[in-house]
Amino acid sequence: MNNINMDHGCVLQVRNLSKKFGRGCPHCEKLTGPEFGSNVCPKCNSVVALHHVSFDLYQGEILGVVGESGSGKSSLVQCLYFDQQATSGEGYLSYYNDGEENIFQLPQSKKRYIRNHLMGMVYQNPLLGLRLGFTSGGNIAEKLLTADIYHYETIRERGKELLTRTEIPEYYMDEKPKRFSGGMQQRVQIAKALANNPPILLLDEVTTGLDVSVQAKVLDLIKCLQQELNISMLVVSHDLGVIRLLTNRTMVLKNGRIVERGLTDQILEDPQHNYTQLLVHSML
Amino acid sequence: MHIRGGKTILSLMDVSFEVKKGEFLGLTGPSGIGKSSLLKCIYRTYVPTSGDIWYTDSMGDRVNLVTANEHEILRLRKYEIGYISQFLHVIPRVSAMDVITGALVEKGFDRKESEERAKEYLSRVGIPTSLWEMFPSTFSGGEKQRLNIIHAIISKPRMLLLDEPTASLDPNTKNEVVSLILELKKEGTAMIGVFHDHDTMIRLADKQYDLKLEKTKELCV
Ligand SMILES: Nc1ncnc2c1ncn2[C@@H]1O[C@H](COP(=O)(O)OP(=O)(O)OP(=O)(O)O)[C@@H](O)[C@H]1O
Ligand SMILES: [Mg+2]
Ligand SMILES: [Zn+2]
Repeated sequence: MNNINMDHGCVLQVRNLSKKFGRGCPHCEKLTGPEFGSNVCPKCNSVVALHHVSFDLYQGEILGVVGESGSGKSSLVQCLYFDQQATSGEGYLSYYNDGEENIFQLPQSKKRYIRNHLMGMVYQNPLLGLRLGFTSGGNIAEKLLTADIYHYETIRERGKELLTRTEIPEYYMDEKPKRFSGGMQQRVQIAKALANNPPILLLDEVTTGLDVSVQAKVLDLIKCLQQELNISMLVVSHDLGVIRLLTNRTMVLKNGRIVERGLTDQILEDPQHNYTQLLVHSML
Repeated sequence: MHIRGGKTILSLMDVSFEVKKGEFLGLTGPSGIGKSSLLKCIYRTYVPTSGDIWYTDSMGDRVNLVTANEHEILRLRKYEIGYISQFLHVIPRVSAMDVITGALVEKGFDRKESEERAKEYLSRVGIPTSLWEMFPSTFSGGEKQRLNIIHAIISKPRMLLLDEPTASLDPNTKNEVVSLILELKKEGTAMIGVFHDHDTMIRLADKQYDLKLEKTKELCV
């Protein structure tokens, strides 16, 4: 069954994605959510990190995900990157088997294939995305090796090309990111994530913790990548300024549920949901 | 049509009008009546509570801007409908030249050609060449505004929404901006605009719609 509407340029379709931490009980979903202001089930203490999250990601678009701490943003991208196992839900990827198979139910080897060839991830915490003890070049090589590129010269060339693209001075190639500034570490993470030319990039709070001028450079880089490479991206941020600059459409998460979605300027200027109104006003 | 913006509830009752190809409709009415909100509803930055806004696109299809899906709106914003607000939101580290060139490249124009056109427009609104490679975040209010205007008109949208785009310009620059807008109008762009400056309004508008008065006709372009 072909579920994905690719004629319209949809590259990733997610339906009813749910993620629960803990054993769960029949009451979890009914007793958590925005109306309870909590994602912890009072009966069994399981955490409903995501519940029935559905969205479409289109070719070349940057889709924003906003929400307060703990709302489930990282869980969402980590389920998509298979770092976390989705509890239930469906996902279809136009690049994988023409969107015919639910990616969340694939065997590990196929998931690994998608992760290594079709997706890139930039983690909120550089420690998760980088091996700080490897050199920058080594980090990029690692990603290329997983994508079945073994030729030394090719790896070296691609590494240089990626460092140039992400504006990292070439001599950083043989240095370990352990000593780099936060902004530079994020750049190496982006370079690594781009190594296998993924059509989909997941970015979790890429600019958090960076000072404003470094932030601007990283945002600029992301925008350029989207325009030049036409990559589809999911950008997670709790910073509405970042969301405004980068995205056309946004979804708002609260206690694991999407409470509102729409055009980014509409979400920011005429939020419809109470929670979004609070979120937007608290940022002004 | 009712419009809700942020916390305050504005309500525009039964706003109805139509604008044709190459026509400029000026919106008038006292401050706070909802002129900007109306423009934002047409652009879908605000969600109208009820009513229809019918737009005829370049393929001749009628699209209801109130109910069209997000991707349809994004497509129209990219290729057909321009909006000049008081502020320009750009990535801080992109040069003025790249911002303007980008407005064309994004729509599929050739880069070289886009750069040439960007230079022409930047010169026409009097942005000194020394600023072209600078970041707009460092520009003065008037310079930002001019950049904002050419950013919206350089790709020649079929419909243009203007929210006081000339507010902080000196008379000479304003003249140049007005003539750019008139040229675009001559080429067939339908326009809806708010200008608190009466002279500019007279020079641009073919007809005016007073938001206090209510008329009934559907909007089609
Ligand atoms: N391994 C885990 N075990 C149990 N609960 C977890 C685990 N990982 C995350 N959670 C819980 O899931 C919920 C969603 O967490 P998540 O990291 O997705 O939030 P977030 O929106 O990314 O927050 P932040 O903005 O702080 O990064 C939180 O309540 C969190 O405590
Ligand atoms: Mg997170
Ligand atoms: Zn439970």
